[in-house]
Amino acid sequence: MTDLDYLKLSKPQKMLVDLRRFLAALPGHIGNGLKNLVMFIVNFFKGIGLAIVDVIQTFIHGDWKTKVSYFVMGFGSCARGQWGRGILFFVFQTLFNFYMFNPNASQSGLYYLGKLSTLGTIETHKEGRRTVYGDNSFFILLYGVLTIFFIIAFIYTWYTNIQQNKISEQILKSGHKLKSTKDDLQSLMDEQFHKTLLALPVLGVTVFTILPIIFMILVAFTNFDMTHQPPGKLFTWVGWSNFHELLASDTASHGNTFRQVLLWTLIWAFFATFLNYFLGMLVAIMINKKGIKLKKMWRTILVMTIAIPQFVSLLYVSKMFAADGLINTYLMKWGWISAPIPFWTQPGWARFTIILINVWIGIPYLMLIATGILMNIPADLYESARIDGASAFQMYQKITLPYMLFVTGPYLLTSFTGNINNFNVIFLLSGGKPQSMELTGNAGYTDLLITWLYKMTVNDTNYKLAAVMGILVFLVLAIINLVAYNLIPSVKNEEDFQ
Amino acid sequence: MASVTFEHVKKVYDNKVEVVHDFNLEIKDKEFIVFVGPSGCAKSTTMRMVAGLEDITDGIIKINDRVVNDVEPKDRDIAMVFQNYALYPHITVYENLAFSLRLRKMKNEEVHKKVCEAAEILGITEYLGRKPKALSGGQRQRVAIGRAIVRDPQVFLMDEPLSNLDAKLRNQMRSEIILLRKRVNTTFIYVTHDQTEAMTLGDRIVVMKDGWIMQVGTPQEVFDTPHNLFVAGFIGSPQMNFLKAKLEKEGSTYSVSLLGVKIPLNADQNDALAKKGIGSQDITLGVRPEHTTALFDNQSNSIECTILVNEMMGSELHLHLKTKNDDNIILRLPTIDLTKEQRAQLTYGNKMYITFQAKVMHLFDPKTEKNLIYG
Amino acid sequence: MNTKNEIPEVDIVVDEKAGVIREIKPEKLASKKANERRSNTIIYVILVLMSIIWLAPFVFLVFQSFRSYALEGGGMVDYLLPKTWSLDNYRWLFNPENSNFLRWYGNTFIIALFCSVIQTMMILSVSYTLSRLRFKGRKFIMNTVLVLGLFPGFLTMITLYFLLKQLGLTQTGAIPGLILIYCASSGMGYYISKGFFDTLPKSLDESARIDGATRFQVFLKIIMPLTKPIVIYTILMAFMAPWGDYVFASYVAFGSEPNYNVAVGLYRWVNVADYQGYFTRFCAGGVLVAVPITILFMCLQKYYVEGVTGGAVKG
Repeated sequence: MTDLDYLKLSKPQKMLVDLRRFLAALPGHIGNGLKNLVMFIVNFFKGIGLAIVDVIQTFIHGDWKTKVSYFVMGFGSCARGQWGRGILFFVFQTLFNFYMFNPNASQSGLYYLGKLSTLGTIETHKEGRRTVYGDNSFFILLYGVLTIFFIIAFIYTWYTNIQQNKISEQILKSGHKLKSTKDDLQSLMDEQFHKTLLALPVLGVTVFTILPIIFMILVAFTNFDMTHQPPGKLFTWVGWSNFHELLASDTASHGNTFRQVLLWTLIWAFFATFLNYFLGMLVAIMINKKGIKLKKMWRTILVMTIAIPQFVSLLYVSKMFAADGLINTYLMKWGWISAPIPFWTQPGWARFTIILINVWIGIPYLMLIATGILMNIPADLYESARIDGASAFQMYQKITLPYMLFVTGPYLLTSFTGNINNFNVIFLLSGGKPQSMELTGNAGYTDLLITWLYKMTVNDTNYKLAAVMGILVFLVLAIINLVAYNLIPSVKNEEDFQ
Repeated sequence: MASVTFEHVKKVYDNKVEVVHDFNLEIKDKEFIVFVGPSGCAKSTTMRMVAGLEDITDGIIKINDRVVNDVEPKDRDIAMVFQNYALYPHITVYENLAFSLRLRKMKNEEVHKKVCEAAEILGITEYLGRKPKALSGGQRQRVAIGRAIVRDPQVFLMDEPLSNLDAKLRNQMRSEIILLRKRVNTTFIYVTHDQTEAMTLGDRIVVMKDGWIMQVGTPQEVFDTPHNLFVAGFIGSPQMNFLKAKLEKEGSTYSVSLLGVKIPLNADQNDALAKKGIGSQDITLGVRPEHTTALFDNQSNSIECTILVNEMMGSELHLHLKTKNDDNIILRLPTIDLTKEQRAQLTYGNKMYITFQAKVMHLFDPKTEKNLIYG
Repeated sequence: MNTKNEIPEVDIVVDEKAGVIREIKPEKLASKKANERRSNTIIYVILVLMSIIWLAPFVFLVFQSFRSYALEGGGMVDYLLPKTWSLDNYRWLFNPENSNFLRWYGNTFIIALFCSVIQTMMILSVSYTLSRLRFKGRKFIMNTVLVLGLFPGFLTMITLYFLLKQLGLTQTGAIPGLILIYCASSGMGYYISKGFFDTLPKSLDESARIDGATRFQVFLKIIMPLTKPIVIYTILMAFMAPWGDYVFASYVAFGSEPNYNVAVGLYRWVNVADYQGYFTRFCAGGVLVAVPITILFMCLQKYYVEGVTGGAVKG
C-alpha cells in the first residue's frame, strides 16, 4: 500500500491498518528484543573471557612491580610514584580482607557466604534457663548478599588495579610521565568530575535501594513469616511455593483475592490518572478562557490545597465522610437521608468515594500542568483553525487535545505508575477497608497491591508474601511501561528533547 | 603564531556513522581559513575537533606541532565564537569578557585593561554594565567576539557566527570581521554555510561535502577552477548553469557541441585535455550566469532558449531560460544596457539566444563529476 | 444616510460543505455575545462552587481547632461553628507537660531542614552529571534507575529498618535514621531537574571550557547560577515531604514516642488513640503544621509551577 492509498482511508480504516501493521511488526520487535538480550549475554561473557586473557597476558609480560600488584593491590602504583591511587587500592584490599577473613568467625564475610545456601542450621534453643542464640537467617541472607556485592566490587577493583599497572608501564615505555596524585585530584574536578558527583548518590542507592530490593526478591523464595522470625526461629529456601500461595485459586491460597485487588488497583489507577487528567484540563481551560476575570485568584485557591500535608487534609476529609462525620450528620439534619450513607463501609461506596476525593486532590495539580502547556500551544494554530472555520469544540478536539496528549504522554505514564503505587491516598482515607470474609489475607475492598503489601509487612509480618507481591507489582508496572514505551511516541523520544 | 595540521583525521559517531573521512589539511600561521559546505557536511564537527569539544576517532590534529588529541579544550589556547553566542546570561558583559582572564588568575588591573581594550575595538564600551539579555543580536555578537579576543588565542575558531543575524547586519559584521582580522592577526578557522562569507573572508577556503574535502584553495582558485561539479555549483551566485553536451576530438583539437552549436576550445584547454589523453565523450558543460551572453536575435553559434521567469533585481535582471534539451539556464542582464523595447520583450514564452566563449566553459565528466581539465 | 455604503460589523465564517464564505447577520452577532456572556456566567458559577469545595475542609478544620475543649469536648460533633470560640486546644498543644507535640514539631523541622540541604545536593549532582556530562555507563545508570523505580517503595521497608537498626538509628535514633533513609536514595529523583538542565544550551558549557574552566568551575560558576528556579523547587519539595511522611516514620520510630514526627503523632491521635477525645487537638495540630508550610509554598509558588510543568512535559 502506498502512502497516498493510506492517506485516503477513513479513520476506522486507518486504525485497522495501523493495528495490522503493529501486529505484523510484533514478532520482529520481540525477535529483536530477544536477539539483543542474547547478544548482551554473549558480549558479557565474551568481555569476561577477554578480561581473563588480558589479566594472564599482563602477568606474563608485566614487570615485577606489576606482578607484585596481583597480590598486593596498589603496589605498582606506589612503586611508580602514584601514591594516592596506590594507597587507595591497598586500603580497599585491606578492608576487604578484614571483612572476608574476620577473626571473629561469626561476623566474617566467608561465614555468611558459607551459610547462604541453608540460611542457617543452628536453631536458637534453651540450655537450662539460658537462651543460646543460633544462626540468624535474616542476617545471613542480608550479609550474604552484601558479601557478594563486596566480592564483585573487589574483583572489579582488582582488575582496574591490574589495568592501571599495564597502562602505566606502556606510558613509561613510550617516554611520557605518569599522572601525579595532584593530577589525579585535579582530574576529579574536571575529566573525572562525574565520578566525584556520582560517588555518594550511587553508594546511597546501592546500599539503601539495590541491596534491599535484591534481599526482598530473595525473601520471596524463603518461608520468612510470622512463624519463622529470627532470631528465635530460622527460615530457609522454599522455591516457588510462595508464588503458588499468592496466585493459586485453592482455599489455602490468595489467588482470588489477589486477582480482585489487582483488578481494583488497575481500575483505580485508570480513574485516578485519566479522570483527573481530563477534569484538570477542563478546569484549566475554564480559568484560562478569555473574559474570565481573577484568573490568579482561582488558581491560587486550588493550588493552596497542594501545600497542606496530606495526612492533615486526607485524615480530616476521611473523618468528614465517616458515618458520624459532618456530611452524614448534615444530610440527616436537613432530612435528605434517613440513615448515614455508608461511605467507608460498603465496598462500592468506598471505592466511589475514594476516586471522588482523589479528584479533589488531583485537579489542582493537573490544572497547573495543563495551564503551563496550554500557554505553550502556538497561538497561530488557533488563528489558522479559526480562519478555516473551526468551532471552539473542534479546536479543542483537533488542536488542544492532541497537543496535550502528545506532550504529556510521558507524564501520563509516570502518573499511571505512580497511582498504582499511590499509598497515601488509600491508606489515609480508608486504610483499605471495608474488609470481608470473602477476601483473604486481611485485604480490604479498597486495598491496592501496595497497601496490601504494607499490611502484610506491618500487621501480619508475612514478609515472604509481601516480597512476592512486590515482585508482582514490579512485573505489572514493567509490562505497562514496556507496552506504553512502544506505543506512545513522545515516551519513546523522551531523550530527543535534548 | 600557530599552525594547525590535520593528518588522516576521522570522526565516527557511536561506532557506526563515519562523518569525517580521512581529513588532511595544513593551516598556516596567521591564515584565515574557511570551512564551507551545506548543512551536514561535518564542517562544524571538524572544527569542534580542533577545539577539543569532540573526540578524534582516528588520526592526529596538531596545533604548532603539538599533538592535541588528548589535550583538554582549556589547555589548547584557542578561543571560539559560537553560533548562538553562548554568552553567560547571569553576568554582565564586563564579566563575560573578563571570565577567561579571571580563570587564569590575572590581576584585576590587567583584566580591566584588556576588557576595556577589547570593548573599545568592538565599540561595546557603553554596554559593559549590561546583562546579555539587554543587548541586541549584533551587540551580542560583538560581545562574543570580544570574549574571544581578550584571550589573545593562538587559534581563533568561529562557528557560523553570523547566521543568527539579519541580512543587513550580517553584511556589516562581515566587513567588521575583516577589519578585526587585520588587528588581531592570528590564525582563524571560520565555519559557514554561506559561500559569500567564505569568498569574502577566507585566505583559503575548504569546500566540504558529506565529510569529504571537495577542494581547498584561494577564493579565486575555487571560483575559477572548480575541481568538480559540487564546488562549481556551490560557489557563485546565482548558481553555475549546467548543460548536457558532447566533447568532440578531431585530430589534436577539441570542441564542445550542444544543441547544434559547436564551440572550439582554446589552446590551453586543448593542451590540458590532450595531456590527459581524453577522447570524445559526453560531458556536463558548466557556464556561470555572468559569463553567459544574451542575444535578442539569432546569430551564428547561438543557442535558442525560451524565457521562463524574469526577476528584477534592480541593477540587473535574472533571466531563467529553458533550452530545447530542457536544461535550465540563468543569466544576468545589466538593466542599464537595455532599451525599453528590449525590456518589453523579456516576458514569459519569448525567445532569447545565448552564447559563450570557450575560456569560460567548465567541462565535467557526468559520471565522476570531476573537472576534465583541473580535476 | 445611505446605508448601502456602510459596512456592517460581521464575523466571517466558512461553510465547510459549500466551501463558500458567508456573512453572519448582525442579529446572529448579538446572540453570539449573549452566548459568550451565558457561558462565562456558567464558568463563574462552577469556579465559585469549586472554590467552596476546595476550601471548605480547611475552613472547617480551622473552626474545629478553635472549639472550646472545656465546654464542648474534643470529639467530633454534628455542627460546624463552635458554640464557644477558644484557644484551649492550642494552649494544650503548647504545654510540653500534656504531650510531645512541640518535640514532634521540632523533630520534623530538623528532618526537613537536613533533607532540604542534603537531598538538593544529591539531586543536583545526579541531574547535572546525567544532563551535562558524557561518560561511559551514563545510559546504564539511567536505565537502572528506571527499573528500580518500578519496585514499590515499601517492599524494602523491613530491610531498611534492619539496616538502620544495625546502625543504631531506630527508635531513639529515629531522626538521623529517617534523614539517612530520605536522603540516601534521593538521587533517583533527578528527572525534573535534569529536564531543566537539558534546556540550557550546551554551548554555554563548551564556551566556558574553552575559556579555561574545569568542569567543576563550569558547574559552580555557569550552571548553578542559572538553575535558581529548579534549586528552589528541589529545596521546597525536599522540605515539604518529611511533614507528610507517616509510613516510614512510624515504622522507624515505633514505640519511642518522643521521636515521632508530627505526622505519626497526630495520626495516632486520630486513629489509634481515642479520637473522640483528641479530634479537635488533631485539628489544631494540623493547622499549626499546615499554616507555615502553606505560607512558604504560596511564596515560592512560581518555582513550584515551573518545576511541575517542566517535569510533566519532559517526563
